[in-house]
Amino acid sequence: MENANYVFTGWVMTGVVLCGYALRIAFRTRRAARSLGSGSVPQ
Amino acid sequence: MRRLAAEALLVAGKDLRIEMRSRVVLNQVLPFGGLVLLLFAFALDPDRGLLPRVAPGLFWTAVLLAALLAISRSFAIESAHGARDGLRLSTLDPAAVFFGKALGIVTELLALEIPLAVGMFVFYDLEGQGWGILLLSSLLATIGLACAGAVYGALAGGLDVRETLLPLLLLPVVAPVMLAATRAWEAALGGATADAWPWIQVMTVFAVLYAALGALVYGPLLEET
Amino acid sequence: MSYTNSGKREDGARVASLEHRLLTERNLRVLGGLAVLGLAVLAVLGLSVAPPDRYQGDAQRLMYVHVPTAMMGFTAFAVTTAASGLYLWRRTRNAHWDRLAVSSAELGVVFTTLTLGLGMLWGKPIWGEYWTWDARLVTTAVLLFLYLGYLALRRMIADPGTRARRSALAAIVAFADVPIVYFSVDWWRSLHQKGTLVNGGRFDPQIHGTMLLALLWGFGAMGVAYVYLLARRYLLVEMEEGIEERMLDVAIAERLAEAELDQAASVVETEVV
Repeated sequence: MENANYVFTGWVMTGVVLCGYALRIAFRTRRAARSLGSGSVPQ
Repeated sequence: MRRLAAEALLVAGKDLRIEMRSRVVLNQVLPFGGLVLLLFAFALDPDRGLLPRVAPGLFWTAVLLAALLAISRSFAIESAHGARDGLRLSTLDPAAVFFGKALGIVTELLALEIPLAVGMFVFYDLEGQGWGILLLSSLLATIGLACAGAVYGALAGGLDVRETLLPLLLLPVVAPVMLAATRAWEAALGGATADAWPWIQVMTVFAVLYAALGALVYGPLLEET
Repeated sequence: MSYTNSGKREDGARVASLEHRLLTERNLRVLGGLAVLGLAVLAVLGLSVAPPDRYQGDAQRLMYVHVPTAMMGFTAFAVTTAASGLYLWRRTRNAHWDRLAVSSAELGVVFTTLTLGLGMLWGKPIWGEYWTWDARLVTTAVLLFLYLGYLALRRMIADPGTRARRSALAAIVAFADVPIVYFSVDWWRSLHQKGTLVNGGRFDPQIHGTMLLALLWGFGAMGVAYVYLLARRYLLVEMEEGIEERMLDVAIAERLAEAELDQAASVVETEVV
């Protein structure tokens, strides 16, 4: 494929960004659930 | 309608009277604008004949930066001595408060633009022509800037990060005004005044839209702390 | 999740319970799975099934992600604006609109940034440069700044009611500007492009066959991804606001306890005297 660099960089970037964002939300959700579940305020 | 105008003039009058006594716009913002134009000359090397060609853009950039300061100042004076509460408890129509703030800013900006323009014509070696377009577009652009500025100044008002937040909020929104004003000035100074009309239209639409939005939005905006 | 909180906030907006009927963990997992599957299929369609473009060659394959992300970026902004409007209108005022608005705004930043990045990667092989001052790119850049301003404003306001109201107003006022930005930049650039070559980056409305299929699939896959991420982000906002409120309650309780202690101490003092 010509211009394969650009094409693949673009597609990989899309996947990485979307998955990365999903993981970030998941991580923050877990942290929030922990502090809510413990019934006390996070320090 | 009469009452609205009277109340707006009341608010504008208050702001302008404060300015006359403190002279912040005159003594601080105007020199700042001049400095910006000066620095552009350093950045763009006058000997290469670039300055007259890009003068309209530089002028409006300088005006925009100065406007940020003037707008910020217009709302800084509301933070002192419980002025904001005073404004809310007075029975002034919120739309009148908006128009008053905007009118005050328009006046201050026009007072800035005239000396800056004169200075620029002199120091960037410009030939003046198309004065009608220059004046009309300046007026429309200033009204648009002031209306949008009054809205965002109030939105960011009372926050201690107002100085850094206001530019971020306002600049993207007034980009079309910058674009249109620059193109209109280019058309006027280049002798092609007919080319300026689409840009005059853009600025008119913007000014009308933000004047209307401001009048609508100030009610809910002034409601809270 | 055991934490629930219902009732009214001071701004009159009703706060919903954290237990949802639609947004259950199971439903979200299914949706997430569909999103991943959809994007995987899109990759196959876009990278191998669809043929290379007659003029642009393989570089055109970026269109299958670039255009859908652009679409989702604009959609996200529209959702933020609509939710802001619904929040501001008294009849529909509810905290969940505010949460939806901020969630969609953050997603909008993600999709819009992706759009700009993909646009640059597409532009370099086609136009020879990473950036060009055409109306759509510029409007997208302005849109990104509008989002960033919205999020910055929210971060600076602590009181939830004030934050919701001001950012809702900011969103609506910014949204009104987008058409003006687009048309003025379009006018400007079209004046500069008289007689030049056709812009190869333009979306060709005459594509058909597998290319059209891939593009349409792209819209669908990105749409599902957007909805999934939006739901997850929304729940996170709910939880974080719950934590905020609890921290506030704790702080208030502490103050009250202090005040009581002070009072008890002064009573003891006066008795002793």
